[in-house]
Amino acid sequence: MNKSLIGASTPRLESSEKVTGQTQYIDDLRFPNLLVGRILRSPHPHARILAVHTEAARAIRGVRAVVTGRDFPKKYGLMIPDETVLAVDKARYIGDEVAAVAAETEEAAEEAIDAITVDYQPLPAIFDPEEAMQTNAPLVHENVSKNITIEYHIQRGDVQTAFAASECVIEQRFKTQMQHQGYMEPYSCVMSPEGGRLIAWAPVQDPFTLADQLAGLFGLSATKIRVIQTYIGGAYGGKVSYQRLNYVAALLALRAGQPVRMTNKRWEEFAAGRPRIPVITDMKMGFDRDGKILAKQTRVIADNGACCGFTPGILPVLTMRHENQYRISNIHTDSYLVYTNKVPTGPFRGFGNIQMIFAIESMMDMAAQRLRIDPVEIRLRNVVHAGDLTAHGYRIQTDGLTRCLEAVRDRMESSRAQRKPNHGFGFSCAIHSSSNRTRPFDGTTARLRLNPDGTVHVAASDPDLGQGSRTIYAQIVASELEIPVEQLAVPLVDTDYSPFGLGTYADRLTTMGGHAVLGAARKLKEAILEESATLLGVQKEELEYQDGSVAPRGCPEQTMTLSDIAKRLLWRLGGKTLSIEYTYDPPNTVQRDPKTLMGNTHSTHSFSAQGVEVKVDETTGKIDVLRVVSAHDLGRAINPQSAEGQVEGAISTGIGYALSESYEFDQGQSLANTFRDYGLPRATDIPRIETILIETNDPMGPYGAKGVGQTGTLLPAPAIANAVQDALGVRLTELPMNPDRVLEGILKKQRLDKST
Amino acid sequence: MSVDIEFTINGRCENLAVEPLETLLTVIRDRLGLTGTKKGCDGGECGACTVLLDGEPILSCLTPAVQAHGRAVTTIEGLATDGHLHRIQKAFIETGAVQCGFCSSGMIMATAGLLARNPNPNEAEIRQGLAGNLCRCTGYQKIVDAVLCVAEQSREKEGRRDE
Repeated sequence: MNKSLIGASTPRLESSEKVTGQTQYIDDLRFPNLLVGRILRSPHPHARILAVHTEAARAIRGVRAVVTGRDFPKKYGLMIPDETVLAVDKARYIGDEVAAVAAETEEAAEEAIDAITVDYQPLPAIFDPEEAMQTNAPLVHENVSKNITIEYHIQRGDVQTAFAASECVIEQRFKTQMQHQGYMEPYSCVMSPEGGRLIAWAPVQDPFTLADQLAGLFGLSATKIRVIQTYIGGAYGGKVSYQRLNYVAALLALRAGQPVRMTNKRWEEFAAGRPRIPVITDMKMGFDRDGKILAKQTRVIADNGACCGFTPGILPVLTMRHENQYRISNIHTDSYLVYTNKVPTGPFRGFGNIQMIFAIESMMDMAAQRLRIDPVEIRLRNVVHAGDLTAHGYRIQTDGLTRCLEAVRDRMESSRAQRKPNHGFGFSCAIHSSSNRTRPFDGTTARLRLNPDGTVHVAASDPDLGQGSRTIYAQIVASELEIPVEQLAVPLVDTDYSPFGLGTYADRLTTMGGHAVLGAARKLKEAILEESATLLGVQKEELEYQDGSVAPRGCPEQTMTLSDIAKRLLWRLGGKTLSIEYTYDPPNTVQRDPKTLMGNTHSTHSFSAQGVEVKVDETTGKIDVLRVVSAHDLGRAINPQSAEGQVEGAISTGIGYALSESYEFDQGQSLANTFRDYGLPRATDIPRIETILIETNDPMGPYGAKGVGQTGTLLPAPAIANAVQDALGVRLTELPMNPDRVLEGILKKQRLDKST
Repeated sequence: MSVDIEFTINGRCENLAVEPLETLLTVIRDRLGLTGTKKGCDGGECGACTVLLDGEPILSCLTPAVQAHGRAVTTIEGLATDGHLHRIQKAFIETGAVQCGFCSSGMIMATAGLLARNPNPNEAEIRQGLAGNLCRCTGYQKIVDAVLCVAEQSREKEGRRDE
């Protein structure tokens, strides 16, 4: 009897190719007549472009195309059309794409880039978003009247009365930093004009959206574009279709009439990638004497950088998501997305939430301290429960927060009892989305094709980023059809052949894609039974399906395998192939109401909680994270080993965010250009993580499963800040909590203690 | 002004004319077509380009190809023998140490170098030994588990040999 693979730590489908170096990522693919593209970038944070001189560049041997902004001034953008492929009238940040070259060799391309001269007229630049918001600030984009790209103003209930009734009011400013996604594979793509079509190879998270963007930008119909997803060497939100390289390469390829490869050098990832939005948060919360939250007032200032890309989709999340983990009725929030002359920001694991969870989870501990309530207890008194409808209209499906907090508290209990000097304990918890309806359709599709030899092709609509979604899909199909995983193929996404997909983001694949694959597998099984009934001349109800075979009950001699059925259909019943498509679009979600901004946009939510133990060296300011216990409500662990791997990876990104990763800017120039400057955590920086997978059997997920990939990022920064408070009585409110900031905090406290 | 070099790569003899500043990484990937070794930063900071030179792990993006002259280079493609995966490769698969896979070649080669120097490392020594190899997907834990697994298997094998 075939054992179901739901709950099995099935090895990933592609691991044996990856460990032998056989997997071909985009830069491993070879193309005939390939040109190399390179970009000339602005050295000024803000400057008018008076002229671009390309004659010398064009004359260099091997150069096949040189383009400037004026060659293609069309404005575009994923959400707001505020970008051009290359800068036209102004450069808006140091690193801005001003001109590009395609040549036969990288040397020729570099030489040509060096040969291009630009007449710039430097303009006053604006770097601080609070200053950029002011009326007299230099405008980053002149076609709008202010640097505030978009803003939200939300009122729920009555904050004034609620604050007046509060026993304890906490008010604090928090600042979070830019963080690069840090994928090991630099962004790269190949664009190739072939037979009137544009073929794109790219490690992209949303191939159909990339196809759509290319079609719109270059005036081509959908049939003229093909996007072939390549194996993705890490993405975490940073390889969504907004990446400028795609469009520069496409422009060069169309001009040169030959395929062009463009790959970011590592310094270009720092200079011109789209790192996480830095946020300044002013948060004020009112609590009653039992620690119940009565009111919350927040101002959010989000740094857009020089242009948008995905950021208009991030502001609503910053504005609201974190408030849905607690029962809060009285809310007032003003949020702003602000242009500055710095690198444009973008989506990254922990999307629009990691910044705010740092703030709110710090505030909860500040209140706990003031009211003398245990930090886990104060959270338990406020968390949302299954069945709750939050102030923003989220429908909560499980008691994940309670279960995660209790699990973490229990696991940390004995450690907490044996406190050592300079050691501290801290906790945090978080809500995150699993799927997010931002457009009218929010589904995924799966297509299964039964082959004559009994194997099955599983065509999914959305890419595996390396998080293991293809393997999850294979486990689901293998379990439903009762066949070994080895009998399945799960091809990568290709817009010519895959069903239409929105892409991989918002922790949506297990929940949405899982349902699509499950639905398709069940539909295929039904079709197999129907066809078998016809072939065997019996009623469908008389048939039994077991281990990939069908037989009438009590007649094992008439057993037909999947291969038997497929072959008979193909050769005897006139060339019929069983190909089943199934689309899952969650029935319980809506788009946000544009006026009230309310609505249950997420099919469900993942919940998590964490406890950490830290030791702080008061001489050096170094924080050592000694222990991390992290509980995650993922509904059901379809592949526990894979889920743990996701949690561990997310937490290491969260620890980097908390302690070491950041871009410092000097007059708009990023001082982080290499991994060495930047502080990405190494194996010696991350402690052993104890992961607790909490299975709440979420009603909205396939087999009760939902997303878990992002939540680990949200917890470390506030948990560590709370632990530092516990250890030293120092409250750190700015990230990263590097040694300088720790020492500053210690000095400040010493001065305060002396004066009191 | 090219230089003639002769070296073995994964046991096979190669004869090439290389430029003085051409890196071993470029030769491996672009001249010899062995794309299993990756370019993550081209500046010696991520470790994705790690290969073995006479058994020692080196960063091929910082190594001029001329330094390979007369020596033996081993890349990820040379680790498995006769289609049988190396113990390290098997352990990486089984412990779930591979997610996106881009760091895996470098990690595995660095592990081979580490275990050749120290066949029985503890967790701290493993983390120290792999500190030159960045990974953004795994948080390093299952990679460490894979190396501990291989070390354990060696100890068992040694134990059986002593009997």
